Amino acid sequence: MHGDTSSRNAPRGLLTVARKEFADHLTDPAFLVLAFLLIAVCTVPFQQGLEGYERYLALLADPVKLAAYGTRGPTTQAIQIIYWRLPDVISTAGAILAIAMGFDLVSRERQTGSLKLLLARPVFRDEIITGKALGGLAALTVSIAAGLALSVAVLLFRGIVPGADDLVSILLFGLATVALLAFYFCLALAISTTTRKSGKAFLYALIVFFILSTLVPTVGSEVLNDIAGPYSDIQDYTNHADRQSARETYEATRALIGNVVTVFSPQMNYETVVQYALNPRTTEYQAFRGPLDVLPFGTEAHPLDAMARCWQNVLLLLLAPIALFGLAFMAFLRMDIR
Amino acid sequence: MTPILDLGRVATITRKECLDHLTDRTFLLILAIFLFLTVVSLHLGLVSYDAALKQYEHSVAYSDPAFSSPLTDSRPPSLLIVFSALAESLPQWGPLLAIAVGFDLIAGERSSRSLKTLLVRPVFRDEIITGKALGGGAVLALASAVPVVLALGLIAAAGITIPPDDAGIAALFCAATALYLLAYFAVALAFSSLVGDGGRALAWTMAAFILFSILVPTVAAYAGEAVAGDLPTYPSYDAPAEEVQHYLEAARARYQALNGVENLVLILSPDGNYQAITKVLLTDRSDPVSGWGISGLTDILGRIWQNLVAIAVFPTVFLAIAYARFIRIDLR
Repeated sequence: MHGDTSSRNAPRGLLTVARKEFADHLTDPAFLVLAFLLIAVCTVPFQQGLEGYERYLALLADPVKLAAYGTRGPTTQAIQIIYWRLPDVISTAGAILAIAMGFDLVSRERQTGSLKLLLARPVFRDEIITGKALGGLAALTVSIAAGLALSVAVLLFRGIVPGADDLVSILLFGLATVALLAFYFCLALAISTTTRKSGKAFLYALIVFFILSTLVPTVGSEVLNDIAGPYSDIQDYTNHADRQSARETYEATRALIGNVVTVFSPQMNYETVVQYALNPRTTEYQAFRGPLDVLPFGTEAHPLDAMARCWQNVLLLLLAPIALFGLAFMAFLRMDIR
Repeated sequence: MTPILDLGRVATITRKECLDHLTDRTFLLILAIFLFLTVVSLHLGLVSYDAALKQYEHSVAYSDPAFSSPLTDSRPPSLLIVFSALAESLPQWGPLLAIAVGFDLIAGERSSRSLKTLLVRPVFRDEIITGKALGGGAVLALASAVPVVLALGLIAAAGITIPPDDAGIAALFCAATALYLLAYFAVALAFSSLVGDGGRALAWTMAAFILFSILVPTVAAYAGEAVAGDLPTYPSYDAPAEEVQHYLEAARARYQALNGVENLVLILSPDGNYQAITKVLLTDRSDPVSGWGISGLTDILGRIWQNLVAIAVFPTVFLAIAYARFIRIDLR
């Protein structure tokens, strides 16, 4: 039966395309150089994190200094001190890597005419676009996993043995990173399906990246300051109850605008999720202000519980690339190839 | 005898390239965002100038003339505060603008095969690449002049007089910005002639961008710290005077070593040089030895000339690569 044949062949075609794309990425010199640069860019912040960890251990060993932190103790977590500088550099260098992987996947095959040849073979259009996405995603995952495995090897080499929860934290950090890079990869893929020239496709993807990573936070913080007003205004109220309600309004406005900006800034959303993943004691985190509330030092907190506390951010981080892939999928299926 | 470079033909190509850029919708979009960010940072700059002026007025109103001395007197805030927010936000969009201008200049003509048609005409290869470089450079010079002119206009509109020295520094800032943009333009142009396809050229240019704008500055900071070593331990409060003196000297030597090594590595990075130049021009104009007073224009030039040379050499190297490669490119 015809329907049976197609459903039996579908995964095979998909896997073939995905495998070919994966191999193409891993042998592409531009990908290799950018992936190497991504790891190189992370070395210095990671090294600084390790030095910070040594200082943190010295702090924990010194009861006098520890007492200065009060009854709640230090707000940071050991694993967080080692890794917290990485998201900042990863979000720029990683996004460029992801865009460089996706920008010409469709436009170049179209330009060179190889797409026509490919479609003449017994493979469906949806298999091609899904296979391309899966192949790219696999290459991204492999490079992030390799980087993190390297970092854990360095930790072990220096005699730092991460506990089970720490490993889960690192794993969640890696997954969040893959999700962020997948967002930019799918963005480039979507633009690649709608633009004829691959150079333009890359440039458009870069423009979107720079809008999301610099324009949105700049405008967001301006709007925040304009709407919420300066904190000193609250001190003008002489009545205690008035001041209290003004402060509550002020805090609520800041939190609301922070959340709205986070929705439009994948980078800030990613940093929020990473903060919860690396420091499971975090209970409240706000854009532009950082962690606002952290459980007392020594409280048992698991990274997965922390993920539940920021589930909206996690959901957004996972859904955004899927939505962009949906756009690429639709555009590719309806593409006019002549 | 044919002249080495026919300026008329170069001018024709330059004019055509300028017009192409200025009518390209993608370029205009990036320029619009660039200018939007410029206006936002100028607004921030004017706000902080206002705050500094209020503080100065307050300190003048409440100061005691009996204890007045040139060392302790507060000075009126410098107008250049307005530019410092601009100098911080420019590296966010400037490189993208410059790269967008440069990456497709040769690769694009190569993949659309218009380069062959162009070379059939009576024009030499070196005239084409010179014209393209000049056209892109002119557009970027314009893009770096617009924020400065806008800033001076806003300042004048706010009713503030601009001292001649500050106008000179604004011109220097404009020149440094143009060189900074030219640096990334040259990288993009070099890769555009090295790689046949526009997209690939942009991918390699972005790799170079990560290298020069992220990797080199972090390595510079780290190398500085590593060479300078740890800060000596602060002497206890009852330590003899010699020990305190010794500590101060060691701390000063450490900071000198740190800055020296950091600046040496940063020479490789247009971002590092640009930051060093704008820092001296806009925020840190006090005399480096005594730490107070305001240095004149010539003193400032003396302090930043190395960075100015470095930021000018950087594009020259990449333009030379683009030139050498384009002359010998195999077009078939």
